[in-house]
Amino acid sequence: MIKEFLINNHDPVYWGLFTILFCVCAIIAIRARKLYSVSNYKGIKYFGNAFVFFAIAFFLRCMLDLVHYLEDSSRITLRQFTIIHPIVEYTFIFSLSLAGLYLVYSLVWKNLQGVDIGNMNLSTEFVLYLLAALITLGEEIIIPGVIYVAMILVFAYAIIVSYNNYKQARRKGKKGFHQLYFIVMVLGILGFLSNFLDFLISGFFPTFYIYNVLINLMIFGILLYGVFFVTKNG
Amino acid sequence: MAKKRERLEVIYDILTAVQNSGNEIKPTRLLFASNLSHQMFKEYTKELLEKELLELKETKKSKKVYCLKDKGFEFLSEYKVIQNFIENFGL
Repeated sequence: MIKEFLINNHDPVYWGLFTILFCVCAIIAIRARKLYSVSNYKGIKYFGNAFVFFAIAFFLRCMLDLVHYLEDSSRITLRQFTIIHPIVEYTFIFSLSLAGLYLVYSLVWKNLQGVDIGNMNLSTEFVLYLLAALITLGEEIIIPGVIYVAMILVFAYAIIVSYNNYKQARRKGKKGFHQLYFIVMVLGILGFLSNFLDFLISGFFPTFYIYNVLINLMIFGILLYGVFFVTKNG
Repeated sequence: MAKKRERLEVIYDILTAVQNSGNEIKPTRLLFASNLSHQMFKEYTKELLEKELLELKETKKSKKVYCLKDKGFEFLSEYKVIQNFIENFGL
């Protein structure tokens, strides 16, 4: 019965999901920002930035899904939205790409000191924005689906780094969030892989989107738990 | 050989030294308590003064002392949380 409800109410379910994800990401971003304001530790800043951009992306996705749902159910076309729809979509892809890049950067920032191009040294943060812009252009102008490939590669790298962190923590006998964070990265790549498959073979698995909803809820649920688990009392 | 301290650890040690001295400590005493070279001590205290974790006050006897500001107290109370955050997320 739940399965039928979910299949028959695709748009409102997705709208509900992205609303929840927006709230979760906003909470994590606010907590990270607070810790950064006290510590000035760059790793926390980049981690917080990732969730700021995740929150922006999910907010925009909420708005897109809400408008689609209103148009489908009421058979009206919101003409003003037709004009700004592409801008909202580009911003969504840009924000999502930048969020993924910042998340990985928060794990490796100590080893990166900027990029030298000729006589110029570009700060690594500028390079992240540039990469996100290129992914957005690639998605909209060159080949749709670029966002999925880019995020799969980003999360593949994140899996390697988070697994190394987890192994190091185990070697030192430390108990913490490391294992769950590694699992989050694995779920992240599974989420993007499944989205990519759905994009390539549309409708190949009608109830697939339910698993997509569950994976997203698990990823950000674990992250929210992690943030409060490690920041409860020190 | 002693392990090299991370930046946050050094800041914690400096601020703790100020707090343990009743929130008033002369620069020379703080230098010894922080276990830093003179150059590094100057850099760290300059940063802490700029970021308003510390302030340099003059006592009634016209002596200069370091004191913690509100942000400094906040850093000390949140230090373990910050360390946990950094360690658990591998930041």
